[in-house]
Amino acid sequence: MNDPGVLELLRTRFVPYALDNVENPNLTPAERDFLTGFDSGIKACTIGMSAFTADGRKLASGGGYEAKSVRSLLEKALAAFDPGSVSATVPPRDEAAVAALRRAPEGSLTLYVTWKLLEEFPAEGSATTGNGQYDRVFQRSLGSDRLWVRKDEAEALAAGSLPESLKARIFRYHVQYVLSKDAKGLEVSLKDGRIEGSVPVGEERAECLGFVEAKEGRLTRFELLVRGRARRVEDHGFSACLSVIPKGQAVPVALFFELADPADGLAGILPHRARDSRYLK
Amino acid sequence: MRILAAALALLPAGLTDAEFQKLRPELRLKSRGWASLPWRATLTDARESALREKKPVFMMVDTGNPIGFA
Repeated sequence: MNDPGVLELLRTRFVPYALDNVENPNLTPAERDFLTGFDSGIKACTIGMSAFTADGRKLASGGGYEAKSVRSLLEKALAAFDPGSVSATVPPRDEAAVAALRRAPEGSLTLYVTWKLLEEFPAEGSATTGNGQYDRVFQRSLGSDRLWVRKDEAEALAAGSLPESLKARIFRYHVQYVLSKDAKGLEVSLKDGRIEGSVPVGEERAECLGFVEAKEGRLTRFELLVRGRARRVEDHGFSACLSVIPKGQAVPVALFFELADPADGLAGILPHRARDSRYLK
Repeated sequence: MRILAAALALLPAGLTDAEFQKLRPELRLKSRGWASLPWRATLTDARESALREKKPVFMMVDTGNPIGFA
């Protein structure tokens, strides 16, 4: 998905749309009916790519981890696409239905969360990574997710303090996920715009450094980097690079949190853990 | 004094500003080309844009995290 040719096609010739089809489906009943009304790709496997018209006709499906297969899907879709034949009236989202969906709370902010291995090593794949075929692709991948910051937490940050509730959620949903259950807490503090501290992990410590800035009472920057060692996480591919860490080993990793632009489409994709009933507590 | 020095030696050296600046570009989501695409978070947005721009919709589907793999 980082191939320049693929990116150029997606940027100029398609409207890209991302759907979590199981955990946090951001679909109203009417939207789900639309996608299930034709072979859209929603019924697929745990991961898939497809292209279709705005009025509900499939153009192509397939893709995968390699640029060649994605490009093939896109070219096939473009060959089958006739913009002049597309006719539809797209109804606005039903407000009541939207209100019933999991959504970011009023006044909240979103952090992008990413993680990446810092060294190469002999990867240990699985069925998820094609039993070796895509081990290196996974190993070099950047895992990503999002984290909601409540309005009161954002206000506290802008005022110069790092709320314990936010530290707890950063730790519970992301730090512990990447550094393993041996991680025992996010022991960091915020002073004069710097976040410093560490995470105890067994007999070691992962190091932390971050920065907070605010302007006119509004948070304008939140960045936190955690550097430590990760263990294998098999999570149907969601764990990205963590999928291929050999069992029983710990390898260097970095985890990063960054304030998202609320206007960015990616920021609107629900966090993976948002389905947890205590997600915002 | 020796006990203090030994204890201090066990403390993590800590991430330096220079190390932060070196790692940051590698970890920023927007460092990946795919993250710079104009992703829509709702199907309705995607369909409306597709009609207006006369383009097909490209849908990426995943369980739990549609773009968790970059």
